[in-house]
Amino acid sequence: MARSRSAPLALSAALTAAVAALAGAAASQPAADGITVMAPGGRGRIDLVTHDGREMIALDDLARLFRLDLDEDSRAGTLSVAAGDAVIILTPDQPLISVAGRLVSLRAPPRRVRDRWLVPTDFLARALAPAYGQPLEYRAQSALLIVGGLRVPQVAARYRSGGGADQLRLDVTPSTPHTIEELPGRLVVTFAADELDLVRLPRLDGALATGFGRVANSPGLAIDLGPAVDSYSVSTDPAPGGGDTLRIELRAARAAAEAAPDPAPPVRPGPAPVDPLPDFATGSALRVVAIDPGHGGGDAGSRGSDGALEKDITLAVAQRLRAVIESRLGLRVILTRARDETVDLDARAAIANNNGADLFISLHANASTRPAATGAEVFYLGIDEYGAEAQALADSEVEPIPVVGGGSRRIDPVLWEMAQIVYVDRSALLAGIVDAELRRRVVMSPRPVQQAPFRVLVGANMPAVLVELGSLAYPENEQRLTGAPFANAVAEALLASIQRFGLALEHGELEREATAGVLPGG
Amino acid sequence: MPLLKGIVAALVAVGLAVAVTVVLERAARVPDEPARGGGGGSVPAGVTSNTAVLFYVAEDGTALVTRTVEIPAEGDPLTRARIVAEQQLVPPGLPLRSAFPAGTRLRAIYLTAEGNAFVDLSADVSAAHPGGSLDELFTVYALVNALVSNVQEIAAVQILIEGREVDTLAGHVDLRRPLGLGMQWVGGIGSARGYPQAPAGQ
Ligand SMILES: [Zn+2]
Repeated sequence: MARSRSAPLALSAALTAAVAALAGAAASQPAADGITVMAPGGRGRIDLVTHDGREMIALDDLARLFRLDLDEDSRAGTLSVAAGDAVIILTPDQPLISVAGRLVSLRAPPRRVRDRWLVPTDFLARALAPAYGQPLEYRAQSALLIVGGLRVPQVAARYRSGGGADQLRLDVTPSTPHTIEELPGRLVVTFAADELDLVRLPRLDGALATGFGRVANSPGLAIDLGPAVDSYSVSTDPAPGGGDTLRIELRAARAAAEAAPDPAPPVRPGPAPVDPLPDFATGSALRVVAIDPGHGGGDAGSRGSDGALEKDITLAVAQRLRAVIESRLGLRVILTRARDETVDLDARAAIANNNGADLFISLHANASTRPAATGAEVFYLGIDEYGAEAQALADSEVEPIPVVGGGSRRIDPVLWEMAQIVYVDRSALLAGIVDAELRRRVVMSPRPVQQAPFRVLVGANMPAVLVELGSLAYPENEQRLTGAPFANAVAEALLASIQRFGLALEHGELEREATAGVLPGG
Repeated sequence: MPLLKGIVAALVAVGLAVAVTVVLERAARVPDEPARGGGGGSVPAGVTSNTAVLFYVAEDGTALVTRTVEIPAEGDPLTRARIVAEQQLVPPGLPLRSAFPAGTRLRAIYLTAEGNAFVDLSADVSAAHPGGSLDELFTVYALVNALVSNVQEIAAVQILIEGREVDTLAGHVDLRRPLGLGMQWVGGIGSARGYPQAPAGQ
């Protein structure tokens, strides 16, 4: 059995040639049903083959692109794949494969279908990458295979519009140096990279910016500025996982003239300036707000280094919030507990449901000891964790109970336990607004808006969020979180959030805001 | 080469015998990737091993990160699940941090034909938990992800405490049903469904 083995250098040259031959064939976005290959010599593509409902790759496709030697041993029924000096050995229908002498398990077994060998996509990361003589990185999320150590930062773009100042946010992973160039009517962000993996495009309907896209033949992104843009500012902050968050704030001429320019960065601890309140007339979309001070009674929750308890902080903030909502918005406020007592998680949602609350805010504080994780976070319900039934419900046309005043509420005992499912889109909108308002007033965590399977949220029959206010772990944090200025800042942020959310519902802005990028990434 | 490959082919279908093959192949090679980080993952000399991906709280506290360790090779899913769960409870070396409160023990583990694992932990996992939504998510998903990632037969994991079903560990994460892989809590690029630490030419 003669088999030619290439030296790594020759292999690299061969690969470059192979990929270069395909350059230009692939679109800039990963094509559906295929994996985009980026290599120093250009781009290529690997088709995905669906087999038994699973996405698989044909090994002959991979072999062509990566110059692998396939050698089937008909007697043993195995296939050996030579990648440089390393050999991968597969047996049909057996998920354990041998990769350069080590056993590796794949998510699905290799299949031999009509003379072709099919392997699951994790073959790329689990078998090909370790066997291959060059850096090879597979990004399942964007169906991208990066060869030869190319610098291809992942960029997710979000756009948030409103109040005369729009924000374009670029989450860049890993951290990549960039420059920003101002051209007539256009800003161009250019990264020190070979390519960009643009995983999320913003929607710009009715925004200050009028266009967003890649720059041809350059690892850059262009933002077209509409005529209303008067000024802009840029900030860069480190993000979790070694990335950067780049925020480009666009201001409209009128807003810039009316509002005093805000020289401070977006994260500003301490008491907030009091916003002038828009008229919040009776008959608005929101009439009853439920506030849930986390923990209580025998469940103290987190504990600060000097003994402060989560249950006390959440109650103090809740009471402050109730006072400002009642006095300044005139809404009815329900507390799930008004003193230090034990209340079941089920009972908390039930109290809100039974009082016809239009909004549910659960308050918590944590004890994280890592400085990067000590800021505030906003959560709403993750539905993936509740199975196919929840998915079907979320995808169905079931209209949630109208939030706008009056109307009847759906009572369905089967669904009651997961009442929150049909509100997830609205809860996401609320979470985005709460994040934005908190961000103006208190320190935020680097991963602010998240979805999680939280017990207190799932039964809430209304838009619902859970807010982690910050960490009690260090004495200075503990002192800050237990002080009146902090309770006031949080109360102001949540008050403003309730107003914005109520106005969004009244003006039917849910759909527009929801698609314009208030939502956190998926 | 054809002989060795024949051995792999003949034995790979028989769990017990896979180990023998690995010994043959490993003996001929200098290990190119020693087990990294991790608290556990020690395999006595002479015992065959397999890799497992474990999950720890990152140094900055904002995500889980993975470490690959060697564990004894076991074909039996229940034994493998027990080994993975026990290794996952062992504290890692600095700068990583275990997602589990000190003293948390594995009491028992059960697998169902539907691919659900029920993992019974000692009371410390709840009683000694520092609280906080994110830290509770890390505790839950370190275990869920370790079992689902490393044991083919497991699709979802439900945590029990002292033999009983529980609502939550510390008041936040809903534990009333088995939870599937949650890679959104794992930091690093391309981690949504993949293995962030998959070798990329290092
Ligand atoms: Zn809490």
